[in-house]
Amino acid sequence: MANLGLCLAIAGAALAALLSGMGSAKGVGMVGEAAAGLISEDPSKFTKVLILEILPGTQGLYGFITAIMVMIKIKLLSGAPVELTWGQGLQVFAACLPIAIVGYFSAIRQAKVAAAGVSVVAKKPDQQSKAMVLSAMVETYAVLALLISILFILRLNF
Amino acid sequence: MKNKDYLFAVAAIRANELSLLKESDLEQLINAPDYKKAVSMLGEKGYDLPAGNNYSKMLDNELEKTWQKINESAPEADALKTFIVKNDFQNLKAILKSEMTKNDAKQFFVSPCIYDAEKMLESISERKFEELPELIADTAKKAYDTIVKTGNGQLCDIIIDTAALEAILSFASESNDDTLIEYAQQFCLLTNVKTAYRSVKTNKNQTFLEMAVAENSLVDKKQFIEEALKGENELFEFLGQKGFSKLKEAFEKGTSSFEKYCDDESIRIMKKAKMTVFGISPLAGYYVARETEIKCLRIILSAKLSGVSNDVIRERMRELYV
Repeated sequence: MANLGLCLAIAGAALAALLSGMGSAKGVGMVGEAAAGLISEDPSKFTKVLILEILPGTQGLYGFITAIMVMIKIKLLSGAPVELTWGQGLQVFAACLPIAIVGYFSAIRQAKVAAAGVSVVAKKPDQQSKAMVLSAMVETYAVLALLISILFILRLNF
Repeated sequence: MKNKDYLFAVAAIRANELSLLKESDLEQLINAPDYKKAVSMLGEKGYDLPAGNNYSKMLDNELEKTWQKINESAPEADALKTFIVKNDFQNLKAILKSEMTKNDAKQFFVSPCIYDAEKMLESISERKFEELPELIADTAKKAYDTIVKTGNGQLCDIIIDTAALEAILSFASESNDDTLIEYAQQFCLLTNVKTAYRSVKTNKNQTFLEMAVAENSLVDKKQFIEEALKGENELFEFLGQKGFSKLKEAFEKGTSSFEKYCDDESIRIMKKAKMTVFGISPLAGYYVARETEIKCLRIILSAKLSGVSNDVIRERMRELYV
């Protein structure tokens, strides 16, 4: 297979967007459900819970950024992709794994903390910032995974 | 049902928890100069004002509304039947007794309940036990036959009470929720203690106790009966070793003190649900919280009507959820 390298690179980019997007969709859905429960009783808390709902959505964005960077790196967007050996393709695939896997799991974990945060907002609206900080702590690991993926992609030589 | 399926309901209930009465609210009500003032203060807290002195109906409606609210928000609330199935068996008792005494059973019906009590009354009046809900049918037939053949109301009560405890334990264990299971097990044990205490006082024998005491995982039934037959001191000593050291003291102070002890122990278990985000236990916690709050209001309003002193009311106040 002459294009195996390119296929692997595209598969890596797709995986980064897919898994982190799935995690984010699941996470935002979970927090959204909790937020809807609170709003059904107290609509005035909409803006407070909206921020919590957005938090698990960032992983999907990180996956998207990684996929775009891979596409730029292999010149897929210009319509004339570079020739990649299967080894080079595998390198790109491996570079996408951190954000793909960490993105998926961290989005769901972050959603659980954010959903718990909705309960905090329900009972103590003035403590919303603490609920956000707790949820944002999980974000750290998604950011680290994104950094590693980007550094790998930028440092690949071809 | 997965715990995550209750996210909507839990958040909605958390918002409702804000309107639960606090100890300071109860203290204000206790200090109200009279019944009328207490009722008007309750109105400010969101309660519907009762017509005349009929606060009981108003409080029944409040609990019914709470049950409806939980049911509307929860995707599935079968496990919560743990808390109301006792009312169905209570209604069954009322129906059977009224069948014997020819009184109107409807005035003794309690709610919320799982099954329509009036339909149950209709079926039992026509002796169509097979039309009763499956959970109730066998017990109703057995209790009815017993009361008709022996005329022994106490035996009839025991059949119904034991079946109620089994139903409570069954609903709780199906929920797979540790808090609900712990609540049901403790409720069962404390009801057993009440039954055993009364049995010992009235010199009932082992056969009677074996029929009246329901199985539960907190204490071994056989050992429990053995200790009960030895006497109340031995029973309380045995229960003290199982972690219920304050039971004896509560019993010695009288029935109302024991009832308070049971309610406080239950709410202590349910308070664990305050720290839970996922699952059905926060909904259960809210129901028990409202039930306890309404019990306290009943005590206060009834005391205000009959002129009981504030100190006595305070003694009878239950521990609250919030």
